[in-house]
Amino acid sequence: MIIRLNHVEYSYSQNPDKQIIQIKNLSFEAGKKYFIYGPSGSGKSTLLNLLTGLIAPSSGEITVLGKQLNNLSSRKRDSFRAENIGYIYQKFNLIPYLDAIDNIKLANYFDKTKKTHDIQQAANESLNKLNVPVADRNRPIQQLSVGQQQRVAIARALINQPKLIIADEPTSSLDQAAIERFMNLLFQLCEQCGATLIFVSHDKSLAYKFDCALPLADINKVQ
Amino acid sequence: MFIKLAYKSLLHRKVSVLLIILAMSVSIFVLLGVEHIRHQTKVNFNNSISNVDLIVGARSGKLNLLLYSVFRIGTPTSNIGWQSYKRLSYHRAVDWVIPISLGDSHKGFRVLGTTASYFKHYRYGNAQTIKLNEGKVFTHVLDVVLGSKVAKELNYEIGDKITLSHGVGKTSFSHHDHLAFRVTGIIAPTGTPIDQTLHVSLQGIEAVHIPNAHQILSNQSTELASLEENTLTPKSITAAMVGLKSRMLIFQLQRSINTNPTEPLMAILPGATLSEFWQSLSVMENALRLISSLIVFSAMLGLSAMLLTSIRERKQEINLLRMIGASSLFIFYFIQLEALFIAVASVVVATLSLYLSLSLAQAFLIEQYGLSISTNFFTTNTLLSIGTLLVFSLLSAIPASLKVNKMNE
Repeated sequence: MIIRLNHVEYSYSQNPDKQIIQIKNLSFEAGKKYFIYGPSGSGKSTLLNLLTGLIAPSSGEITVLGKQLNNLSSRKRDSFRAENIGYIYQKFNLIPYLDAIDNIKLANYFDKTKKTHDIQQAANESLNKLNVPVADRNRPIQQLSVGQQQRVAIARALINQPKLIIADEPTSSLDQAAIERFMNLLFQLCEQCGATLIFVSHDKSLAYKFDCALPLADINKVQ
Repeated sequence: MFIKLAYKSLLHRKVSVLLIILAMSVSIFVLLGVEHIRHQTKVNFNNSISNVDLIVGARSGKLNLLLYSVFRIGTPTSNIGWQSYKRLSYHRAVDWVIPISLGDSHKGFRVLGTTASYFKHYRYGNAQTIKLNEGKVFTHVLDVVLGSKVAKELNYEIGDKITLSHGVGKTSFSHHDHLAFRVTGIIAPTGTPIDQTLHVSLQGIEAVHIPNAHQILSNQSTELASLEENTLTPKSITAAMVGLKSRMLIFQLQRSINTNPTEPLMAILPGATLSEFWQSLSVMENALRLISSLIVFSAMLGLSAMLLTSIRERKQEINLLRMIGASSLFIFYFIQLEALFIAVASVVVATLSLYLSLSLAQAFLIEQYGLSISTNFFTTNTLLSIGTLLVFSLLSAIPASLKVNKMNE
């Protein structure tokens, strides 16, 4: 099991009575592709923030890659996230004032364990794989197309060879043809590096491509 | 990477960053400028007189005596008698005496009546002596030695003839135009009131004030050295500057002058009186300082507000940084570094423009106010102000940094 949640509860510190997340048991197997779907406001972002260690649960245990996140300091969770998790957002995936290369370098900068000797070359190789033209790699991010930006985001998410890739509605700003290409590319790259994929979306139509589809309503038992 | 990130992030928000840099530069400019000019004015005043132990004048205000005798500011209330001056110069503790006689002017510049002793003993700045650029010291009754600014402004050269006016205003109605003085020397620039003064002999001053001077002068040689003892000897002088054989005797002599039974005299120590003068101005100085500090403070508040608003706009960006592994401490340093960049840029802009303004204003200040302001404003104090400023800019980034850490709660 790559991830295991045990009696996890979460509520905002300002409003401790209102629970956002309440999960009895949840686990993810290594190397598989998971699809989690649910409407917005059902606690998707909170669940992802818990899985990545950005926030700590109010109670319960979260174990990711053998590390019990709820016992780590926030600082340790931050470096754990940099080293082990690749994250892809719906939009605003890249720092707008850095170019593609620097965005990838930045992700590597936060991973203190895998300082790649030649990060420039590694970034370029990764962008080659993702078909981002050389000419676009040093241009401001805003000048790239949405599809290109998402490909750079994949390259950024994969640069530290993470065991776990989390994608938060990454396709909602793409058109149908682009979604198809994006998904194939993501699957292919996840398989190549043996990473587990957790893909969150409100669009159920994508579910058939995954090993396992979980409705968030079944996972999160908040009343 | 960290520095590059902060630098690029600022570049990304050019306009608001430039505006805040501008606001901060103006405030730093004012702070450093006021401090520098204040300091330089003091230096200028302190440079005007160097080795005079006592200034003796008629009993009036200490400050008044100092201001009119050294800085040619204000007017004397009364004179001291020639006999008192004579007695003073024969005193056993006295090394030398410079008599000065004020009250006349030439086209707005003050005329100082004195003796050769002035050129021999008067010191300014770092004990520098008065040097003549051209010509020589007065040797005849009707000779005049010009300060550098007088010569420059009125375009006078050696050999020119000028007349004196009674009183010190620019538009005097009573001119001593029956006697013309001849320019014999021009003093090298000193950066002190000397530059704006015309120097004549005491006998010259006396001559313009008596109706039959013409006859007296035409009857004999006008050479000062060959004048008979009592010809054109003044009845009184305005003040006298005294140098003592030993500084140990200063207070003893001061006391004996102040308690002189024959004439109400007063002796002051120029240095001590000058510090009293600064003391009396300190309220104004502090007000100036307070104002410039408040300006800086408001600029800091502006920086703080600007960073705080930017955090609100950059919520997604900061979220992203956190998600790819940046710790909250990293974000904290990131905001602090941005503030530091802005502060350093402002200091650079402010110091450069202050340097430029001072270089441009230098000529004007010397010309108009006789103030010689150096362009080098880097003193320990300036560096201290800049250091404090940088620390405060870091403090002003704290609200923004705290906001960031609350965002992920």
